[in-house]
Amino acid sequence: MPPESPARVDQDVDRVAGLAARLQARYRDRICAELTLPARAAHTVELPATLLPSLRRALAARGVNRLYTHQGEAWDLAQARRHFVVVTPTASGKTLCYNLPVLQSVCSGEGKALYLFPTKALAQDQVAELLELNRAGDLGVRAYTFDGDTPGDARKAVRTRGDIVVSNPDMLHQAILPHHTKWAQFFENLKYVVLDEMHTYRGVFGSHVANLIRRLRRVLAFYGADPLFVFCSATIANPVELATRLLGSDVSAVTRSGAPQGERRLLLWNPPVINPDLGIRASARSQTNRIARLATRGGLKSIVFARSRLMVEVLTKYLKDVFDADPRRPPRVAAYRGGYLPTQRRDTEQRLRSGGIDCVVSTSALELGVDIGGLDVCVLNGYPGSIAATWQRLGRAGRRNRTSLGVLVAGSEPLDQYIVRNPEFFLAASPEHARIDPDQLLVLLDHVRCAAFELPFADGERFGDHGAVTELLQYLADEGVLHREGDAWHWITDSYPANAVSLRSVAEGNFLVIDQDRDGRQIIAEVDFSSAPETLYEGAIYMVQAAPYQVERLDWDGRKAFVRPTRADYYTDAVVYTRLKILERFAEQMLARARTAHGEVHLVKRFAGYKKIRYYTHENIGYGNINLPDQEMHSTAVWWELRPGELEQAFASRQEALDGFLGAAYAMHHVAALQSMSETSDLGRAVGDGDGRWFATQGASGRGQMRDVSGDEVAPDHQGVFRPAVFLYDAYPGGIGLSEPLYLRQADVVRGALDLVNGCDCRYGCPACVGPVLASDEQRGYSPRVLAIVVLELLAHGAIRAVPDA
Amino acid sequence: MTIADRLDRLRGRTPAGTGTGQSATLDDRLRRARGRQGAQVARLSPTPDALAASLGGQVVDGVVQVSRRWLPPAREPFGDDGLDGLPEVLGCGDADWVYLDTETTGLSGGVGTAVFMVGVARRDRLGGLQVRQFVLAGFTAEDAMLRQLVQWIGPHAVVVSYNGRCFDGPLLQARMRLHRVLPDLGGLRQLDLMYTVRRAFRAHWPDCRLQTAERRLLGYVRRDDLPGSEAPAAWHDWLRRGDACMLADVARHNLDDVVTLARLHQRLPGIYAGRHADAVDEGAIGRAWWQAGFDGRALAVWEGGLPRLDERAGLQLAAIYRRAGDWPRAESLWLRLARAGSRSAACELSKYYEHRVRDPRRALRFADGCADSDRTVRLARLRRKLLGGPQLSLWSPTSVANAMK
Repeated sequence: MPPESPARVDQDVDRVAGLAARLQARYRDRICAELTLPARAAHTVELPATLLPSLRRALAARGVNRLYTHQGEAWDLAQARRHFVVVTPTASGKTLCYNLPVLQSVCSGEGKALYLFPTKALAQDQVAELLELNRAGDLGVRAYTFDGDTPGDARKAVRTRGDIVVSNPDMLHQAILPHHTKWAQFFENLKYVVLDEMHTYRGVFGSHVANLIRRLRRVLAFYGADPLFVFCSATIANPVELATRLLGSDVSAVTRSGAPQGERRLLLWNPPVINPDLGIRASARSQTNRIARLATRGGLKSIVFARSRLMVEVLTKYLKDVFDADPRRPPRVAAYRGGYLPTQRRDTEQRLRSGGIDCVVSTSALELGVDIGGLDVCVLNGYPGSIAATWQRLGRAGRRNRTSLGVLVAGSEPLDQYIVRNPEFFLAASPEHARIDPDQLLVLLDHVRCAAFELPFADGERFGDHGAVTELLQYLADEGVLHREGDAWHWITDSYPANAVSLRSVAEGNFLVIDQDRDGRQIIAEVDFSSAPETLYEGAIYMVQAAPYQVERLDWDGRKAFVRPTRADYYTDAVVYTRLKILERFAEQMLARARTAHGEVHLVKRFAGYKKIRYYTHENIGYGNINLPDQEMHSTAVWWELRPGELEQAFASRQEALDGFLGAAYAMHHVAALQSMSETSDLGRAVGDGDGRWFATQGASGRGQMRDVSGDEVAPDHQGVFRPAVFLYDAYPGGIGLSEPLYLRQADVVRGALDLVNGCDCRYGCPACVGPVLASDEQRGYSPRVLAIVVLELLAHGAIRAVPDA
Repeated sequence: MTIADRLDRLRGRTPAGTGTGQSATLDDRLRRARGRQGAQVARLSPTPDALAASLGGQVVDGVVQVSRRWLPPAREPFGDDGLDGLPEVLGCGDADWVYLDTETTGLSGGVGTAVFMVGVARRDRLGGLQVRQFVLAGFTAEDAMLRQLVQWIGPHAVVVSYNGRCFDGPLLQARMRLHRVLPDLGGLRQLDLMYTVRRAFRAHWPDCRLQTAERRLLGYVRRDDLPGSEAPAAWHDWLRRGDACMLADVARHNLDDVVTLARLHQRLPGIYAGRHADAVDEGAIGRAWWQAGFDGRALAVWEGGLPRLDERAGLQLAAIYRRAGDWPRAESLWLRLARAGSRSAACELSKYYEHRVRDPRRALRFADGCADSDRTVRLARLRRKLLGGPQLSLWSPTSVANAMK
């Protein structure tokens, strides 16, 4: 990388520092905390003595004459043939940690390498970089991508001639392993497997990938190969643990970066209170907008991260209204998120790198290692949900020897408020643990099935670190999928199991968004299955680069949404009802006045309708219906309910109890997410009776409403038995192991929620504690916040006995 | 709760309403019990000997081998001559032709699809067909079967199949890799008759499946045939229940396929040489000869099908005439193609009239058929040559028709 000229550096330091100073002077009361991370100098080591001369030349041609210390460490581990994981900040030269040992292996004829990236786009970036090094040193290394876009006639060449094959887990799963005999030659010579962006392999996806690695190593063992695994990750608390769980073998770590870094400033920003009665603060959106405007006016390049696709579009629109009002000039503001077509995204990336864009608004899509060049300012619209993700996003601003500024703008959610009010928690806390559960039964079954297709299982054969899977094999044999003969289990069904298993757990496939007004009915976006019901219902306003489209027809079976450009001055937000039924209790604890349990539940999500919300004023200007099938799933959950009699003693009416439970659930959900180090979207919450007969939602008035199976409102007082419970469930089919630890630490969850609600500044309840309160206390006649405290105190009374297997 | 019960519930195999802690429904328990029962029975009875007895074969190293001899009907005796009369294999002479067809556990492909029956056949010196079927009574003998197959086929064969290039071949290769059978069939030459048939008949038949070909070309209609798609279920039945009834049908189906392959191979060279009574696509056949470098054969086929030739073949044939200096034939062919709407033929005519006949007036009539870039220059030049001649409007089928009157 060419050094930046000193004159420009000074000027920019001034500009960034100037912006920071202006913000601090003008908005002192909104800035809760500031942090300055000093600049760090480079630490380097000599190039390894054993490095091939051709590689030495390639590096020299790209201006590299020494390695950063972490790159040196990685080299040593590779030479010692020890699996390792590299965890260093963005732009620290992470990829050389694996490229160097791999190129050495390829150029010396030792063996080949397989690179896996979570997405196709990252894989293509990576090949481009490899090819550059290749050209610089005239190495003659053949690196190919192998993905869904690789044409049929090129695939054979990739298999037989590729030295480095760059692919993604989905291709390995669906196209490579089920045809491994075609790859025999490649596998026999495989010396390295590289998994970059390892931190994305968590939760369901990570559990799938761990099993995929079990399958890969099983097939590799068949070909007598035992390659070295190299992982790279953004900062998380447990990189070694995650890598070890993914691989099922011991992994060493490289964690100290030797790369230089410019000074970084971070401001924690809380929007001002505008209605003290309701505890309402100005929106994070308005503050983010203001900061991004100041940065852009000041000639700085900035990136804004929003938490939802919708917010990306709204923010982009507001910023475009200011900076891109003149259609004759090239746009200065761009949106970037999943759902845009790959070509659109490549174009935005390219314009970012070339400096053509001054401000980009993105979802987490740009959190990953897509190369977008250096930026000066990063604004986070709302706490990204985890400390790891926060640092990852902030790392997008900042170059080697320049100052950068990050601003975390708190939203009204409890986590956000907790973070800005307790900055020491954020600044001192280690990032979260990435958790996976490779032994999750459904995931495991899926991969045992795929593995049995790839090679017959021998009796008692271990599946990675899981051990023998005899029971699952027997289950598959009972289903007629496998046939046991002698001491082996053979595949006998006429099917291709990998096609039925999606690594992202949503098997159903993407929805295409089709603009009917354009010639040939052009596809303008893709939406994954799980978010389709909430964004593509008929009547929904769907936005692409801040341009609104209205969904006119949704072809659910054909997975298509037909839209037309519109001039609506509002956007839409779906209303979702969740109904839940307990299937089995795994464990139960009796508390003094309540009881809590952990078990399996059946969930039904109903998409009841949508709200129309006007731009800028954000007032609710109407409702519409959604006609979509209910979405069902099985998952694991933890739940709390009161012991008989307690409810009647504590509450004047069932309506009050309902409001109390809803408020308590809201606080518990957020505290549980924080404590289990997951994102709030990984957990779901519901209030209902556990038999699926009724469930509670918050109505337009802000009051709790009781609804029956068909979603109709019913009066709480007219029900027979009334036993509300708070449910927190894993938001993934089959669960991913979040609710069990919550059950074991249930007292902490309740206590934490109680602290949150008790400690809040508001009077009747607010989004920072028990959720938004729309009707004022006078109209309602009681305080939802007080009711939530009543519920939480009842739940908080200690355990008197545990009932392990009810 | 057992793992099986948990799985059933997680996967929605039991109604959600069965309540908490309750075990699987009776139906489920029965289903599972039956499954286990079936597996036990299967382990007892599906032996190679039993299968050999049902199919009339013998057991060699655990593999059931069935040998048969088939004689062609008197009106179409087998001969060795001309079997290489196809564009793919011309010049192979009297190669060691081996006809091959497999029956598999599935049609979806991938390593997990196994081959449980392979029929192979070779002509003998007495004008008959020696057929050998290798059949698995279970997976244990798969390795032995694959090795016996490679040995039977030998190192010098040309393997004749129907869709073997995409299906049978890759499947056998995958399983051979799995059992590390070396040498495998990878080095052998292949003749996939499906391409041969498709090329000649795609334009005239609703489909080009093997059975369509044998009905239309050989007049053979199978009776009580078990469709190939049911082969997986047949082997399933055998493994689970030791029931070889359906498997015998599969063997008959497989024998039919192999015999048909040999008969088609006997028949197709004649069709490719232009001797046929059926509607065939002479254009495509001639083109295949042409692309394989046999111009003489292409010419014969195209001339035989002259009245029916498509534009592409017509232009190629005209080009052969032109190169041979046979201008009258070339001209009449171009004229016919141009009348049928071929712009390329019109352009050829234009060039021919301008440079060869030196008649710019007629050349001009056809010049509009030429590609845009070419046309402007050509038109200008021709108008110059004609100077004062009539200005023709753009070329159109009517103007061609008028020009030719």
